Amino acid sequence: MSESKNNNVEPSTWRFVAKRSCEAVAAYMKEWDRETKEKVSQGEPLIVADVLTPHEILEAMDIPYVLRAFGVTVLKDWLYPTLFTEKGNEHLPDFLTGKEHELFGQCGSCGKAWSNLWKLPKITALILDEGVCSGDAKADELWLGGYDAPVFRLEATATPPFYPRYPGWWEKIKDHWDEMIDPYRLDYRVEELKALIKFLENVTGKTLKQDRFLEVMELVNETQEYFRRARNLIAETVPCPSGLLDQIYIYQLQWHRGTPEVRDLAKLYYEEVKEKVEKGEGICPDERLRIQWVKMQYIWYGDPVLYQQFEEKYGAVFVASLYLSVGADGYARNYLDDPLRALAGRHLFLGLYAGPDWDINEARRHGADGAVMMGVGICPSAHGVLKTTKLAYEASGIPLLFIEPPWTEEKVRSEITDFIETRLI
Amino acid sequence: MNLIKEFVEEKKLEKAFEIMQKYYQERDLAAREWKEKGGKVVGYFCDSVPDEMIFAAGLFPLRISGDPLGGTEEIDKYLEPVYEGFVHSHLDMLLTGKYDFVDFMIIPRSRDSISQQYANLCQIQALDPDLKLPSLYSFEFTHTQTYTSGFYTLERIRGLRKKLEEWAGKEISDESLSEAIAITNESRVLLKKVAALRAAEPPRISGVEALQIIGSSMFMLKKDHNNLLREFLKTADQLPSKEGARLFVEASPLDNLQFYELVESCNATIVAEDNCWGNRYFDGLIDTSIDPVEAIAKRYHQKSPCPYIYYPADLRTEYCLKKAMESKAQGVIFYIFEHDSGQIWDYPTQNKALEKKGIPAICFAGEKYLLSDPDRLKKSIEEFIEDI
Repeated sequence: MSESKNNNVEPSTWRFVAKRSCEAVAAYMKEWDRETKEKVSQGEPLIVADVLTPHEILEAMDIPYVLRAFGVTVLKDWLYPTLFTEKGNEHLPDFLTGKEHELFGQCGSCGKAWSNLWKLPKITALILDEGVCSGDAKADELWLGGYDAPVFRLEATATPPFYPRYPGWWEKIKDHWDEMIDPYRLDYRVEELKALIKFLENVTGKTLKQDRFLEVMELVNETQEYFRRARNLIAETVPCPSGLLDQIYIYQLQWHRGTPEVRDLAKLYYEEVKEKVEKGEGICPDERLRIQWVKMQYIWYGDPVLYQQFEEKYGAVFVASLYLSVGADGYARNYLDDPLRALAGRHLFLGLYAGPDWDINEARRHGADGAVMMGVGICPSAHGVLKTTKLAYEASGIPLLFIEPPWTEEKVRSEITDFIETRLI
Repeated sequence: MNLIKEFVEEKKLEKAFEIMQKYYQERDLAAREWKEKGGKVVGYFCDSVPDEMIFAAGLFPLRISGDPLGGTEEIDKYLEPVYEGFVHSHLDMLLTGKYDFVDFMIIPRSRDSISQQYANLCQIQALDPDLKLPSLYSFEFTHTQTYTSGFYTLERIRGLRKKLEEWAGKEISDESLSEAIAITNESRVLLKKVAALRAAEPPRISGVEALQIIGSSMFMLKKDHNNLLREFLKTADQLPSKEGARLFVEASPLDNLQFYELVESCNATIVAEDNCWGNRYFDGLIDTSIDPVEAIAKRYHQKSPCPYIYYPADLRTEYCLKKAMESKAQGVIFYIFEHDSGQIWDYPTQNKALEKKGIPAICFAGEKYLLSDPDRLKKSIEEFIEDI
């Protein structure tokens, strides 16, 4: 699967089942895009943020923002299609062009992700999370050389993967995050968040109102609750009422969380899934096999029709992926008396990179007969755990197909076909 | 025979360098001797773990190193080839029992590929409960050197002290910490004298010799190493001068001599480097005028920046430029391993800064841990040297 192919994917080619909610999400995204562009053109600030940075603060301060991250490049054409207009590639820094680029090898993919943002009309400031790779933080610095924008960094303090630090985290993180995550780590992140708020107040001239912040935090919890309910229905219902493509499309909402509209869209999705369950409608009436897509990397976007072929030929349905599941289990926080600390507790540990236990639990929750995982060869930050994950799956009795690169449509199809025929049927 | 004992008792001074060489080659020798006497050994990755605290606890600190010729068959069963080769080598040696004398392991949050091994080793242990691994401890600290992150690092140093006390079965007194600091500070001072002899005109110590002197200090008790080093330095300024182009090396961690031997076989002397197995290891003394734990935290938080320190952003470039210029290098070689994502992103700005100062550089990126295609490297280095 090449990056260019990823970026060429149009949602119109996807076969959605939860059509009402997917269409509503598409309309919301279009309106968001129009509104954001208008605000920015009228002089409002524009912040670029990482996927795992606390967008709740930006939302509560009514600051327009877009995301940068390798994980979002796949969705970029839907997220902000028309904001990309002004700048051209001639402004790209040297390290992304010419012979220097060759030196970066696999690591250059982060640089390529950055290059997409060069088309933004302006950037007021960047908020970056060290996330999983400290090399990435340096790529940011290089990239920033061409933009006159201040940057605020959030430090990770612990490098993923996190297991075995938080066994069974998904059962207790919402209510007991303050007991699970080390107090010193929370203290440090709270200090960083306070500094971030001050930074944003300085660069945008806007202020964070406590009431509004509480409202956003509550809306985020409500949104995740609808994701959780939808995930649970999908997990426990045969035939599966809403498959991988719906789930990924709906999941764009996660990066807009904290508004009543997004909460209502999540609710709409849950209600549509529930309606399908009540009517006994599924994406594949003749469902015989359930498959989980493991980890976030490289869910196959190359040709969405691929999934349909497995449904038709084998009754094999891809029922689960990390996306909806992490919304269901990873984000919600009972904020007790301290919403800022709860926000710190959310982004210090979302459940991503938490080891195979949760993935396996999700496979069991969804009644998965097998699992598919792609990866390796891009960067150590995201891919060092794939073999141990495979071994853990096999040890738990769930067959797992590990598709190694290079990935072509033909190879993915043929390996999944072989996997279904030899291990699942 | 105990080489250190022989050295101390018989004062075979001319052998000081050879003994350091031997401990560099046989890296488990001192630790095994310690173990045989009933002591406990603490292994650690990287240069970010305060070995003075380990020694103050009455434990033997041993920096874990790899073996480019050792293979990675065992660890390949568990990990994809996505880390620098030396990381795979470390882990393979742990899994195959080559470090079976190590009782405890500290895995610092230094480079990403190292810090991830805490979770990976725990997972491997869960998959194979019969595997004998040392007890593991994840030592976390920040990748920035800001005022606020300094407090975080201090807190983690206190956490490390508690863990070491648990392992040692006794408290670490402030007095023992101060004594250990005095020893490691002396080591740093002595190693700086070695660095000065390399940067001298002409150099008196080669890069290959220096790596062995510096490296052996991580495989022996520092007080023993200091004894050897003091004697070695008495006459080191009279060593034969080293010839050839003066080069500075900016490289991924080099825990063996392959690359230096190749470079110095091209009529060149490596007069300094930015490397955690080289000169950067002994930068920065520990302040003896303040509380010892706070002093250790201060030194390790503000130590010379490794490629995984990313803020302030210019630190790495300034360090490279300063050290290259101080050593009066005529050229710089970048030698970066495959998958070293921290080091590679330093290169563009470091190279530009060197260019501005008129210092030529050559870059080898994506290199393997086991030196591959030496003829290709040699040819390029010879051409580079000819140009400068």
